[in-house]
Amino acid sequence: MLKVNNLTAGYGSAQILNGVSLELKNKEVLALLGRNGVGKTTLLKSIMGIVRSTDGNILLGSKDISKTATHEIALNGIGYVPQGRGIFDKLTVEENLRMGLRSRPDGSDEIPSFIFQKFPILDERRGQLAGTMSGGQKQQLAISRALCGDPKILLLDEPSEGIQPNIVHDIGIFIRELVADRDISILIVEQNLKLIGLASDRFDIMVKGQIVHSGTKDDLENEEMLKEFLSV
Amino acid sequence: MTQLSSLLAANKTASGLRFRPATLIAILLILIMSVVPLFSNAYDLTNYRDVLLFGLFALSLDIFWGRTGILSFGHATFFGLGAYGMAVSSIHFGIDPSYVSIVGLLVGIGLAAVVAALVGYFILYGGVRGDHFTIVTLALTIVANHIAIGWSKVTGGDSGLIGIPPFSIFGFSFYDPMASYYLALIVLAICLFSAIWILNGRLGLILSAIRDDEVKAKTLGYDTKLILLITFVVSAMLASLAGALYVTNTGFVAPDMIALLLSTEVIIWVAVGGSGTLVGAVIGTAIVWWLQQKISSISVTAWPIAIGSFFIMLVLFFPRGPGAFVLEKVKAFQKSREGNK
Repeated sequence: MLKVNNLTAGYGSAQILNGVSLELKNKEVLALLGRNGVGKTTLLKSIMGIVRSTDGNILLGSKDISKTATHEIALNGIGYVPQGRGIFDKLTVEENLRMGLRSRPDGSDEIPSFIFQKFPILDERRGQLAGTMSGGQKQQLAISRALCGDPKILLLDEPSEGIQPNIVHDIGIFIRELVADRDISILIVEQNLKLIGLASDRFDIMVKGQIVHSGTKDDLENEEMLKEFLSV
Repeated sequence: MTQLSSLLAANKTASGLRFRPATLIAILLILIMSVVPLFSNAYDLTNYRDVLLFGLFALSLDIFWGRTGILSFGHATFFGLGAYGMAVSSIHFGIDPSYVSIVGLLVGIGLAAVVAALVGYFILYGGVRGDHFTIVTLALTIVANHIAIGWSKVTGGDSGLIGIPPFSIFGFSFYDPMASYYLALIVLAICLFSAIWILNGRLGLILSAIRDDEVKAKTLGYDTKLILLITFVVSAMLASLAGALYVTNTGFVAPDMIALLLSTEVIIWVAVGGSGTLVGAVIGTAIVWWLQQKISSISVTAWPIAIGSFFIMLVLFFPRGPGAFVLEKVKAFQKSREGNK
């Protein structure tokens, strides 16, 4: 589905990714773990074409997208929920969702009904300015907006950040349901191990811009490994 | 281009020209302006006509600055290109008088479109935004002004060109002040309502999103560089339309129509009316023009001081203009009511 091969990238002279390789399979949730500053967000940005790679490649199916423009990557079926949610504060909930329709393969101009079934609060607050919503509601909106584009792959950057535990749990359940019900794969950057345990099939750990360890969610019980790589 | 045409098509289902406060104000404004000639003499009418064309010029800037948040300090370049395109075509080309205005209009607008597309391509695709964009466009006006002065064989140099005929189409001349006033009003009305319809729909939504965060908009599949470039070119074409029509009324063109002062003035007109409101740009032009008449009649030297002080007050207290401030409050109130339902 999505293959990252020996990717190097950074900001100016500061190289952040030092040959990252990973593979996201069809209908799977892969978590990317690591301490702050190891390059997790940079990797997602590189996949989206926001940060340009200097070496290696990114294959979406058989197509190399490492030099593709960001908007074309979105049109090719990759949805992105950035760290900090990335909603448009001055637009309403409905306007934010409508912005997500651009990359729909079927060209539909309708917000998918399952969004409002999953997150009824968004239906109730369609006309409200998005910037006035709570953190949890903003996260629901950000994920829903990405899903409006019917992506094949969804990149989630720290969806639990600044959100109360019960909503984090809801997001975890939602991610599992999403993969079960729809033809979608999810790459999630996360520090919350409870959410990882709930939502992911397996994980990769990054250290200094490289994947150094991989495992399944059962391995999250391994305290020695967590201490070594994550200082948990 | 497919992206833009699909966006315009989407306007059918978007909010388009629905009755927002700004739309109602625009309708009211055009209605009032359409009866003004009944109560005005010929001299006043020529002044009001010029205000309408400057209002169109301000609208052109507001379409780009107000909606994208990117300030162009070079819009006089496009006004001037329209003006010089019309003047040079009328005077140097030796065209049949029946068609001279149409050819002049096409040359002026075409010139502005080409220059805006070329400059816009390099700066927008080069990632130039914010203050850097403003500075580059400011430099563009300075360059254009130097060309207008230096290329005297074509442009008439410092003296400019005189003898531009009144606008005419298929033998009908808009020489009469009433006719030229209504021509200006009809052109302004068409441009204003088209802008409101387009920018209150899907395209306006996307431009608002780009203004909020361009990278986020890209990650949702929008070719933001192309959208910004097209908006910039359309904005430049409208500015040139205003310039081209303006010189058919004055009968002459001079380098001050493609100068930094005019670029500054148009920013003030838009700022006074409220950037992003569209109709506010036209109202702001009229307010500043009226103030200029009143203050200059007391003391000619007082006007630059007054307008400078006024601009500083605006920047300090109403960065997007008093009109935009009021409309934002009204919109926020409406949205909070919708959200609470």
